[in-house]
Amino acid sequence: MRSCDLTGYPRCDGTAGVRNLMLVLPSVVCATQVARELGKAAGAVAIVHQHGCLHVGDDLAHTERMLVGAALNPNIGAVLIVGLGCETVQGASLARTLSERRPRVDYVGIQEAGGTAQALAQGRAIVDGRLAQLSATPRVALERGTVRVGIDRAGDPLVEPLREALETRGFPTCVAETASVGGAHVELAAAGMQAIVSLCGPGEPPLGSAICPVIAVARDREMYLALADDFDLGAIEGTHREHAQLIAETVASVCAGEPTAAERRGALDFVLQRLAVTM
Amino acid sequence: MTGTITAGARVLILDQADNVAVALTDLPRGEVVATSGDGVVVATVEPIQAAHKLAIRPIAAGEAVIKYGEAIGLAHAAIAAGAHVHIHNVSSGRLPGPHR
Amino acid sequence: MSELLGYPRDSGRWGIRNHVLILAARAAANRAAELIADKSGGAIAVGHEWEARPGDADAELIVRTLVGFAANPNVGGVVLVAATDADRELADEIAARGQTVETVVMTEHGGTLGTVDAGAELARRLSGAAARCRPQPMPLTALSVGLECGGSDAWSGITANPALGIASDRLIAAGATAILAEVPELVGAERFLASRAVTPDIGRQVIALIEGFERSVRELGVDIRGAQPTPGNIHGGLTTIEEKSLGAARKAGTAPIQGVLAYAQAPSRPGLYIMDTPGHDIEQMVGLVAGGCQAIAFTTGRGTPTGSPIAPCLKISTNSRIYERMPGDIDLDAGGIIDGSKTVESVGDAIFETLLEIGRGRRTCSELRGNSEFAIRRVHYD
Repeated sequence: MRSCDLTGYPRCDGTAGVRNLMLVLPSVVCATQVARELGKAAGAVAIVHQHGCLHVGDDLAHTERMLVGAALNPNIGAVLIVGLGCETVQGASLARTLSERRPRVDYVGIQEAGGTAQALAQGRAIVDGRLAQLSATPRVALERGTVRVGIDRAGDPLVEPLREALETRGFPTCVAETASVGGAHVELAAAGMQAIVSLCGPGEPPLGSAICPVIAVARDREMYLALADDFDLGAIEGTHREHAQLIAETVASVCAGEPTAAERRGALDFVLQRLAVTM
Repeated sequence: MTGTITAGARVLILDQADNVAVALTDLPRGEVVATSGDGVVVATVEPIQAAHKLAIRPIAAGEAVIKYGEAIGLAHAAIAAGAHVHIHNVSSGRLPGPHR
Repeated sequence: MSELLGYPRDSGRWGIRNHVLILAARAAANRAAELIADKSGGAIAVGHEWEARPGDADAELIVRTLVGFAANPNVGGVVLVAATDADRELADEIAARGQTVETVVMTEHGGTLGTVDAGAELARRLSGAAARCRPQPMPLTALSVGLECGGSDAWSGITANPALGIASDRLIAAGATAILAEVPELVGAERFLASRAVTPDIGRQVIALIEGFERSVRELGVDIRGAQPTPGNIHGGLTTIEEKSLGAARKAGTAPIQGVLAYAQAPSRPGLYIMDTPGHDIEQMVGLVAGGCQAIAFTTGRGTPTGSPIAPCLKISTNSRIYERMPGDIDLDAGGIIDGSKTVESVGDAIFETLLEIGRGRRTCSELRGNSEFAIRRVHYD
């Protein structure tokens, strides 16, 4: 694959996205309804989660890192943080941290704005403005090695051949496995991966991601046949090498703009793993 | 339980055992507030924000702060009568915080 | 009139709403549930972060919560969106509670998009059946109200919470049920509450519940401030968890405490109970609704718009400033107590009367805005 086939959106910190998303990110569960409404604008992506309040210790630090990491992912062209005002993970402070690293960071606080209706009005104006800016940004050629691919499984024998196939094509890779697959996707997105290969085993339906295109690969025949529309590929018969090549080619076209199955169905999953109980 | 707040009241003392009162409106420095029944008056030594607490008696470091007739924490510094009572001079007596 | 207007269910319980719920069995079904609800005009989709991985130590708790939620009598029928056949068990448990449930399985339709038409058809059938169910006079004894506070400030314990306590006492006197929760926000109030337990054993359970939480926090060895109290609580004048708790406990008035409930557990008899939930506004609300509460009475000082997808949430401001600042998010203001223009008793009566109106169909701000927050509770962390 020639390096001039790799296109995307360069960011000011030297990274580049394969998508140019307008992310609406609530800092706390109480702001998710406003975020959800704002995310309905064409081209906007809203994350809905249940976190942001009453975290302590390492769990708090981890959640903050994951939210910051999601917003700083190279695929994000602009981010609107929606906060409530009284929450543990203070939305205003999150927005300040982000704006030190990136342009096009905005904040709306529901209490500060004067309630839901006001927050929606302010938020819509911001989202519309940012979407107009983003739509004027073209895809440009990227240097080989700029786009990194995450793999959400460690134990699968397909992983090593896949890493080799991707790295040969100029995609550095990173493997992350956690107790929850969605949790691994969030970790990989926060680590700056622009695309994720998800290797789904028996009985495991695929998840998408609000931040990264997820290339869903079925490793189980039954699941592949039964949920064919939700997978991008099946890697069941054939050699690991053949599978690895095919997956790597699919990754390349997805990075060039081809939508994944998850993107086609609009699966904006964001499963944040917690380290301690909520207070 | 809470007593009735009469129109024009500036502070509320919730229980006769309390050593703090709640400001019902923003109080300036030097405002004189009456503590119920015993004839003692206290003047604020600093502005007190509405809903925040002021000491109606001196509270020693290590002494319990009493509101609703129950301990709501421990003073980790001496608090003068009329002073603002909040996180800068009170910590939880029950759960870990920066001063425990 | 002290009767409500409700929907009698096969389970013997009554709903004050008549929702069709599209429930995702696991996170992979969230998008399908959303699309089905979009196509069903009025059905409500609920998705969540549970992946249903094998070996999940919290599986029993989460399943119990989802089942209890789906079985709430405000729901006339459920479409369970299963990702695989393994999720059917959830539907069986929902049906075992006397709830009407249809299941659509994604693996039978080739994936998400293929499931939508089949799911929407089931939803339409359930909506049709629900529409044929007319509201009838419902006894007040069938009502269960969750007592919640969120975004509290120092006014909470002086205005809205004691007023809610008056309304709670009136509910209990009328033979209804009220449930107090948020155990972390009862630390400091345990003796006050235990003294009202109907038996010494229940008093011991109340103390054990609260001291158990306290012990677990010490074992974590973290500074809990920022979580309890939150930055908003502190800004609003609350200094410690004890102060917050003594104010929070006032939501439950003076009635005797009949027992301690596990998270998402429904009581078997009317009365006042304490449920084991965290302080987290949504985890708490889900636990209460899963435990059968048809309405939530929610006091707030800083202001929060949250609500339940299937239960009306009556928002009561502790101060008039927030009531005026957040129109459309707050239903009732207790702030008149601060300047003496209202009494705790008069606001308490207003809360009680408003709950009755809600039980006769009046919509709350959270319902009109479509606030439908949801969260799963987890307790196992290594």
